[in-house]
Amino acid sequence: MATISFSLDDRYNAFITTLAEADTGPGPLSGIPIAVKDNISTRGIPTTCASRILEGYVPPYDAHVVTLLKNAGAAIVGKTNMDEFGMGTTTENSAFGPTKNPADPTRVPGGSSGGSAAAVASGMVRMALGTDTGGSIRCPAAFCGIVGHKPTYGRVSRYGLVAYANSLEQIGPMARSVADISLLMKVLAGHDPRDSTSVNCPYSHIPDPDVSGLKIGVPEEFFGEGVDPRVASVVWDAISLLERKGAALITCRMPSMAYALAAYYVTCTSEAGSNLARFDGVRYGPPADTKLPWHEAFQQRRRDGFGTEVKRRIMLGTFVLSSGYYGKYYAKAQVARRQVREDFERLFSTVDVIAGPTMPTVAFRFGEKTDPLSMYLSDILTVPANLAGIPAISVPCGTSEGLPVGLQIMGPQFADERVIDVAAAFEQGSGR
Amino acid sequence: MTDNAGISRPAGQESRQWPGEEAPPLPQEIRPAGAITDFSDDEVIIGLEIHCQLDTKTKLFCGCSTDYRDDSPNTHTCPVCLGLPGSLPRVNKKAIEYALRVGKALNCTISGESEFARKNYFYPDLNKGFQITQYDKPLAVQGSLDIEGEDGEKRVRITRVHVEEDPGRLVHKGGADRPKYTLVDYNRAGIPLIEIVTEPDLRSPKEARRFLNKLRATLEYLGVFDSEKEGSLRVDANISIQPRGWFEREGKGKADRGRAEVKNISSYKGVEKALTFEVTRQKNVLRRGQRLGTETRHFVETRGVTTSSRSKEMEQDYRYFPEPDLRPLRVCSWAEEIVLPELPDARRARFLTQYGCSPNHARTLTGDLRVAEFYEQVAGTEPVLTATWVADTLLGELNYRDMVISRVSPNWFRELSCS
Repeated sequence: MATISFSLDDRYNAFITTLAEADTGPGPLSGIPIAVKDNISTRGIPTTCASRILEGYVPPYDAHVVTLLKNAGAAIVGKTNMDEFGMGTTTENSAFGPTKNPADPTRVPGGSSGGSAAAVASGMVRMALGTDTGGSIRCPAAFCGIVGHKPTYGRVSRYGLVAYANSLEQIGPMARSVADISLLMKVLAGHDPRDSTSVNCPYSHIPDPDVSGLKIGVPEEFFGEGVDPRVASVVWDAISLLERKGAALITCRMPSMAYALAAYYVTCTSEAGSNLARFDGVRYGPPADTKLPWHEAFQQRRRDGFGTEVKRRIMLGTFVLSSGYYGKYYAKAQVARRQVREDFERLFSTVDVIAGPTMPTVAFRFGEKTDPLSMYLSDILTVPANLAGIPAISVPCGTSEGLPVGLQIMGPQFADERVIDVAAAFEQGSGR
Repeated sequence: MTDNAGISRPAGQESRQWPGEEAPPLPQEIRPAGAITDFSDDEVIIGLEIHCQLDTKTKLFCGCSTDYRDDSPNTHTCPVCLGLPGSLPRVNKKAIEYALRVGKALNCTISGESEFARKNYFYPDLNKGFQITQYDKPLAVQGSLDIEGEDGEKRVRITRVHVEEDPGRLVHKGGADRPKYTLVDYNRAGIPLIEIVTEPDLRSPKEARRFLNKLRATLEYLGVFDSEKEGSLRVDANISIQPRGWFEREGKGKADRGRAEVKNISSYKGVEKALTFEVTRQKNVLRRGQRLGTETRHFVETRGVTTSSRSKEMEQDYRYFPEPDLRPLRVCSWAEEIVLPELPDARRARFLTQYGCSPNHARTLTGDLRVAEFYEQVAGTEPVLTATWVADTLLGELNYRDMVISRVSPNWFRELSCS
C-alpha cells in the first residue's frame, strides 16, 4: 500500500471534500486518482449528499463500489459536488454552491453528478463515479463533453449509495474515454449479496469498435418537440457516421415517451419522500431542539436542513402516495413504466441499440432555468432508460454553439457491452 | 407497539378515570333518550392483532444477533438495522421459514406472491422514517385456529399473517411522569415480527385470552417463538358491544355503536383485563345514551385501565408502497416442503389415547409446550395419577408462586411421585 499526494486547484467547485493524500494499492486501477460522488458512502470521509441535513455525518462503512475501487488499487481523492440528494439537472441545488462547467464556466455542468463530470472534464482526475436516477450521469457527461455510462439496473451494487429513488438509480463510471469506462465497469459490475436487487452479471469485456451489420433504432420522439434543432443536427451527423461504418439505421416510434416523464417524476418523488424521512434531527446533522415537542422539532430540522428542490420533491412524493391519490398517481405511473419497458422490448426485438441525443439542449447558463417544470422537461430523453432499467451511455459527439453535445446509446438489459462497443466505434470514427 | 405513530402522553398524566370516563352511571330517572339499559340481547365482539417476535438467531434484514436483552443499548446494531443512509435490507430466510410454519399451522393459504411494503410515519424510535412490513400482499391469508370457546369448541378465523420489522425502543430518563429526556436503543430494531390478524370472531375477554393461550402454545410447538422473553408479544384488540347477530347481518366496519381499538397490551393476562375494563366502560357509555365513535385507546397495565389517546392518530396516513429494495417473495413450493411438528391438538389427542388422561388434563398439559414435555418425562407407569399431580397440584403451586415449569427438574419430581 502506497499513498499518492493530491493537490488540486478546484476552480470549478467540483469537490465537496478533497483528500491531500490517498491510499493506492496494486490492481487494475493502481495509482489512478478517482473522484466519488458525495452520495456514495465512504468510511471515515464525510458523505454529505450536498445537503446541510447530513452535516457532520461520517459513514462508518464503505459502499460496495468503494470497497471494489480500493481492492482494485484506486486512489480515492475526493468527494464530488452534486445536486442535493441527486435532485436536479444542473448541480445548482447544492448546499456547497454550484459547480462550473469546464467547457464554459458561465454555464452549468449538468447534474446531478456535475462535480464528477467537471472533475473529469477539467483533468483533475482520470475517472469518477456518478449515479444516475433519471440521467444524472449522462446529462453532465453530455454537458461537459465526457463519457458517462448508466449500467443495467442491478449490474452494479447500490449498497452504500444514499438512496434517492431506489428502483431507478445505478452507480456508474464517468471518464474521458470509452476505454476507461470499460476498465471501470470491469471493477464495478458483479453480484453483491447485500443488495437484493443486484444481479450476478460481471463485466469482462474489451470494447470492439466494429459496428458493421449493427441495427440502430432511431425513435422519432428523440428528435421531437423541445429538442434544439442544432443539437439534433449534431447528433444526426454522429449517427450517420455509425452508418458509414456499416451500421443500419432504422427509424422507429416510442409512443410511451408521452408518459415517461410523468411516470418518472411520480415514482422518484414517492421513493424520495420515504427515503429522506430518516433525516429528522435524531441521528444526523445538528441535533433537533429538545425543548420542542418531538414532531415540531422534526419539522424545524427538516425545514432548515433541506433545500427548496428537495422539499418540493418530498411534498410531491407525499402527495402522490396519500390515501385516495395512490391509484390516481403511483399505480398509474407503474402502468406507464411497464409501457415504457414494453416499448423498449418491442424495439429491441428488431434493433440492436437505440440512439439519440442525451440532452435536448446544450448546457444552460447559471440561473437560466428557474421554472421547475421546464427543468424537469430537460430530462425527457434520459429517464426512459431508468424506467426500463436498461443500459445507456453518453459519448461526446461534437459541439453546438461551441458547447459539447452528447450522443446517447441505449441497449437491452444486460447489454452494457454492446452500448459500450457502439460508443467506442463512434469515438474511434470521430477521431477523438 | 409498532403502530405508535401518535405520541402518547407520559404515564401518570391522565386525569383520574373511572370506567366510562366522565362519571359513574346516571340514576334511572334522568337517563337520556337512546340509552341502553338491557344488554342481555347484546354481545361483545372482539378481533385481535397480535405481534410476536420470531425467535430467530439474527435480525430480519441483517446479520445482527437478536439476543440483546441483557446487553447494553445499541450494541446489537449495524448500518442496516440502524437505517444508516445507503444501507439496504436483505431478507433473513429463517424468518420467512418461521412465518411459513405459522401460516401452515394456522391453516392459511400461502400467497403465491407476497411483497414487502413501506409504512411511512415519523416517530423518534423509527430509524428510517418507515417500517418495512407487508400490506396488500401478505405472506399468508384466510386461516383458522380452533379454541375452547364459551360454548364449546370454536373456530376463530385468521385474516392474515405477515412479516415485519420491530422498531427501536425509547428509554425515558428522569422520572416516568415528566421525563427530562429520551434515549433511543436500536438493539430491538429489525427483530423479525409476525403480525397475526383475526376476524372479529371472539365473543368475550375470556375467549380472547384462550385464543392467545392457544396461539402461544402453537407458536412454541412450532419452535418459532419464546413467550418467556420480555416484550416478545404485543396485542392490539378491537372491541365493541353490538346487538346479538348484528355482526353477521351488517358485516365488518359498519359499527353502529362504535368501537375501540386498545393498543399496546403486552401480556396475556393484560389482554383479558383490558378487554374486561372496556366492556364495563363501553356499557356505561351506552347506558348514558352516548355514542362511542371509533377510538384508539391505550392500556395502562399498572392501573388496569384503558385511556383515550387524544392524538391525531386517527388521521394518520401511512402512504404504503412496495419496498423497492426487496424482490417479491414467491415461496409456495418452499412452504409445501415444510413439515410441521406435532401441534397442541394432536398432542392432546395422543395424551388421551397414550396416557389415558382426562380431557381436561390433556388440554391443560398440552396447553404449554414445556408442561407437555415435562409431563411426558415424568408420566412413568402411573400416567393418569401423574397427570393429576402435574396438571392440578404442580401447576397450581407454580402459578401461586409465579414460577415457570423450567424451574422444576423432572428427576426431582419423578422421585417424589414414585416414592
